[in-house]
Amino acid sequence: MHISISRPVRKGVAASGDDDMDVDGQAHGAAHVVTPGEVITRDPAFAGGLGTIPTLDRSVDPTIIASVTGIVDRVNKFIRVQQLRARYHGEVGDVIVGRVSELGPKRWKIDFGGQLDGVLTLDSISLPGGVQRRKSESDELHMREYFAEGDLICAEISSRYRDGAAQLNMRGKSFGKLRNGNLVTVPSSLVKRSKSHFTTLSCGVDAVLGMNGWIWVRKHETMAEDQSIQQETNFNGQNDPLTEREREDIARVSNCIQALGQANNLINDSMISYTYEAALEYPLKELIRDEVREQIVVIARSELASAMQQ
Amino acid sequence: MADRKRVVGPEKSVLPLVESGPQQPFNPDRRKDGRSGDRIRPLFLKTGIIKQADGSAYIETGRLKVACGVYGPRQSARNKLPTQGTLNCDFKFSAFSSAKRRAYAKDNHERECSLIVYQALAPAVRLDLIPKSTVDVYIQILESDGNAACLAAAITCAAMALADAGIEMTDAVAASSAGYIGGNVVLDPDGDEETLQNGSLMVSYMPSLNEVTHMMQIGEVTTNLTVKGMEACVDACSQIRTVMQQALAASLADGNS
Repeated sequence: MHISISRPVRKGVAASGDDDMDVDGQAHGAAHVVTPGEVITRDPAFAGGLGTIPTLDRSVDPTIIASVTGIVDRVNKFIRVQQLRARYHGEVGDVIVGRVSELGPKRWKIDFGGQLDGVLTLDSISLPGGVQRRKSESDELHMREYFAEGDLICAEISSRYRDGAAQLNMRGKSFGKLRNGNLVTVPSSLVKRSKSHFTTLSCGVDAVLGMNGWIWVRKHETMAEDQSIQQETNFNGQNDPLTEREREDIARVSNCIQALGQANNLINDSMISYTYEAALEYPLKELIRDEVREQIVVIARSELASAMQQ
Repeated sequence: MADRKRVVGPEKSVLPLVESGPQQPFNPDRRKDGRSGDRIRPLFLKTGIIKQADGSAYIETGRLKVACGVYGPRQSARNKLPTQGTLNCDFKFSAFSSAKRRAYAKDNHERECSLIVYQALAPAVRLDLIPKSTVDVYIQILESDGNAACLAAAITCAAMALADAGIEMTDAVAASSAGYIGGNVVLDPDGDEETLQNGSLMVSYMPSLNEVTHMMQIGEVTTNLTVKGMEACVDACSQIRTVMQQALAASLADGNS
C-alpha cells in the first residue's frame, strides 16, 4: 500500500514558482515586507499566526492584516510576520542572563530585557549544602544573602505563567551568580541557539551566551567535581583577583562580541573565536573603532566560510 | 519659583522687531511657500535614531522637527490593570523649540498634548496582548511651527516609533491638521498661517481600517466646512501613511544589511 505523508514545507521568503498566494500584487522573489495595518492577503484559505490580526468573523471578511513591521513568512497555508528586531520573547529551555530587580515573597524578580520580569522562586534553586531540600522559613529570611537586587545571574526558563511571564530555575552546576567578568548586550535575535550556552573559548575565556542577548564574558572557571562545592561558588559573588592578561582577553572578547552585534552577525562560540583571532592583529584599544570592528568581522566571516568548505 | 538647578534664560523675552513689507492678502490657492490649500508640506521620516530606545522615529516637515523614543513593553512598576498593558505618553517642547523660550518644567499645554497623543494612539495599540507591561512614549519637539501641525506630527512620529519598537498595533496611526481661513480649508497650516485662521482641525486616522481615532476642532465653523476639513485631513493622512510605510520598509532593509 502506498501512503504519502504530507508534512509542512517551509516556503522561504525568497521562494518562487508554485506560489499561489495572493499577496496583493506583490512580486515574488523579494522579501515581502509589511507594516502595521497592511493587508497581507484576502484569500480565505490562509490562516494568520503571530504578527497578524484576526478578523472577528473569518467567513464574512477573510482579510489577514499585519500588526507589526516585518517579513511575511509562510508555511503552506499558515502566515505569520517575522520581526527582525523585537524585544526578547523567551522560549522554554532558554539560558538567560539577567539582573535581580526585586525581591518578593519566596521569589526573586529577574529583569532580562523581556516584556515582563522573570520569576525565580526559592523552590527552584538548589541551595548550597543540600542538593534538594525543602526550603524553610529561615531560608526565606536569608534570600537577600543568596541574591540581592542588582546581582547578575544566569538561569534557565522552565515554563511560562498565564500572563506570559517566564518562570526561571537554577538547577544545574552552571547556573548561579555571575562574577569575574563583564556584560555585553547585543540584539537577542543574533544569539544562535546551540547545545551549550556555557562555552569556553579557545583563548581561555568563558562566555555565557544568554538567549536574551545578554552575554557574560568571564575568566575561565574550572568546575568543581563535587556538586555541593560548585554550588557554594555559584552563590559567591566575590571576584577573584584577575591578572593583566586575563583582563585583556576578557576585554578583547567583549569587543569582538560587540563588533559582531554591530555587524548584525549571528553569534555563537566559533564565530566569537574567529573574530577574536582576527582581532589579535590589532592593539586592544583599536577595537573600539568602528572601522576596525567592521574589518575583524569581515575577516572572521571569510574564515568561517573557508572552514565550512573543508 | 525659579529653578535654581539650571541656568534659565532671561525671565522676559521679546521677539525681535522685524520690519514687514506690505501685507499680501491670503490666497488659499497660492500660499507663502507656493503650495495650494489642499497640499501638505513635504515630509521626511526616519526610524532608529535613538540607539538605546526600543524604537524611535524622527519627523521633519517644513520647519517642524519632532523626535520620539519608545521604551518597552517592560514590566510595570505597579499593576493598574492586570489584564491590560499601559501606554504612557510624554509630550515635551524643547526650551529652544518655539519663538518664545519654553520652561523646562512641564506646563499645562504639554500635559494636554500628552493626553491627546495618548487618546490618538491607544485605540491602535494592542494593549490586551501585553498584560502587566508598560510602553513609554517620549515625544520631544525640537522645533515647533504651528500648534495643530506640531501635534499631528507628534502623533505620526509616535506611531512610527511604536512600529519600530515592534509593538503590535491594529494599524499605524497617521495624523494631519487643517486650518479654517476665511471660509476655506487650508491643510497643514504653519505658524504664520495659524495667526490668520478662525478655527483649526486635527484628525488622527487609521488608513487601512478607515477609522478615526481622534479628532479635535477649535473655533467657530459651519458643519459644511467641518465635513470638507475632515475629508481633506483624511486624504492627507493616507498620503502620510504612504511615507510611513516606505520609511519602515527602508529601516528593515538597513537593519538587514
